[in-house]
Amino acid sequence: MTNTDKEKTQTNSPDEITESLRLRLKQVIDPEVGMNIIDLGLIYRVEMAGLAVCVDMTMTSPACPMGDILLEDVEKALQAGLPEGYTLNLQLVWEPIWSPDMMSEDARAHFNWED
Amino acid sequence: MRVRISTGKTKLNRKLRILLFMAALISLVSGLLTGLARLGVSVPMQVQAGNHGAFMICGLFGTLISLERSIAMARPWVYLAPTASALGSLVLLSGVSDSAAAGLFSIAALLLVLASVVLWRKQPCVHLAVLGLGAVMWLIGNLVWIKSGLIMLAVPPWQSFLILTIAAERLELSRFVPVPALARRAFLLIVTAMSLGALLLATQARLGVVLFSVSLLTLMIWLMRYDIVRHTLRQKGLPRYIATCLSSGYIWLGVSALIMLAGEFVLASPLRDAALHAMLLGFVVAMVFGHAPIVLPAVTRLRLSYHRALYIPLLFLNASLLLRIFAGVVNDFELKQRAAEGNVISLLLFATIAVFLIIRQRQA
Repeated sequence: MTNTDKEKTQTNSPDEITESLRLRLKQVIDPEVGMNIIDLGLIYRVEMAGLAVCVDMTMTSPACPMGDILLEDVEKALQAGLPEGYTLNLQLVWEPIWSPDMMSEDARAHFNWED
Repeated sequence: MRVRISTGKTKLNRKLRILLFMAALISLVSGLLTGLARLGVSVPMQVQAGNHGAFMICGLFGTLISLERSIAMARPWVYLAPTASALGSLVLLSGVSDSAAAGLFSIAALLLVLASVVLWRKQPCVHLAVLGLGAVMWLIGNLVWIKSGLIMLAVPPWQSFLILTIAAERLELSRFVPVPALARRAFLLIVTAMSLGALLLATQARLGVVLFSVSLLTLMIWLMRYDIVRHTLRQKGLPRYIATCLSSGYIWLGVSALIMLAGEFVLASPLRDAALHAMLLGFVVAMVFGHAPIVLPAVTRLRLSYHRALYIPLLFLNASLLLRIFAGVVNDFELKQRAAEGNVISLLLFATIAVFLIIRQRQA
């Protein structure tokens, strides 16, 4: 992201900022599944709270060792899009337990779910 | 920008992870050398060929699987599992006492069982129960080894440990695709029957082998039908590579089951080696090849970026394994030796390419 982009982000409303961060999270791909973590339903929350952006994410299994790597990827993806002076609160959460209902319509269609 | 990351976990020293990973690699090298020595191939050092299975399954996979679990859970006590397993493989290598090594592997397995219980309490899902059952089978195999002093008797429960661990992960990933409730229940029945079959093999060989191999065949069909690989095979890059490794692995799992079903799992059969290695190399090692780009960074923090060169060792592994099965069918011992060397070369090839890709990534 260029400086101009950053300035733009700073002047955006909270909704626009969270939307742009969600778009950035779409660049983070689950390497096994080959799909982004937003469509897979692994991001539970992207919210502004004062000068903080709160992101809650989950994993499909607490036995999976790649949590830290995925968190690192998420942090990298968000870093460039976060307005100056804001804090990123990134949390790995296990409640509620992930289920296929949390996937986006696109993801469900991709995996042949008939809704 | 300030970043606060909260995982509810304690991060443990990277050095400890790497040390444990190195111990697993030492076990791998010992396993390869003992494997070759077992087939009469001359190796550069004196090794206890009879301990091949213990090095590969307990020292290598036991350590790696419990290390992966420790990283996922990030609780200091869980790290005692890979530590005990790593110590077990070093004791085994030293030749001081096989039973002390088996004892350490048993402690590791027991800790892995406990870790699985903790995970299951956190999320009572079927795949975590299957993962726990895998750890139980590792423990049983180790106890059988201690009691009998025979690694041979521990092999079927050990095989189940690896199959259940992989199957549990595939079951977890199958949640992305629609799987009928009946098929999910069938999965549980299949893995339970397979575990029972593995346990029966020691006392009621015929019944055990039929139950074990028919369950494995059914598991192969289940995985081919419901695994996410049906979708990821159509993608590009890493997902397709992983899917290719798994697909070839499923075929080998079926081959292994068919050889066993044909009654060739008995010690005297020249095809016993084929049945074991179709499963442990064709299925398990191919799975390792596929997942190394994911697991290696998680364990060592070294990124291994995907490159199509990773297909070369997979191809070499499959070709040399095919040769090994053929050598068993025609009962040609010398050919089996060459094929086993080919198996080792495919692993070395994989390691070389992986190191090259890691270095390239770091320089980028």
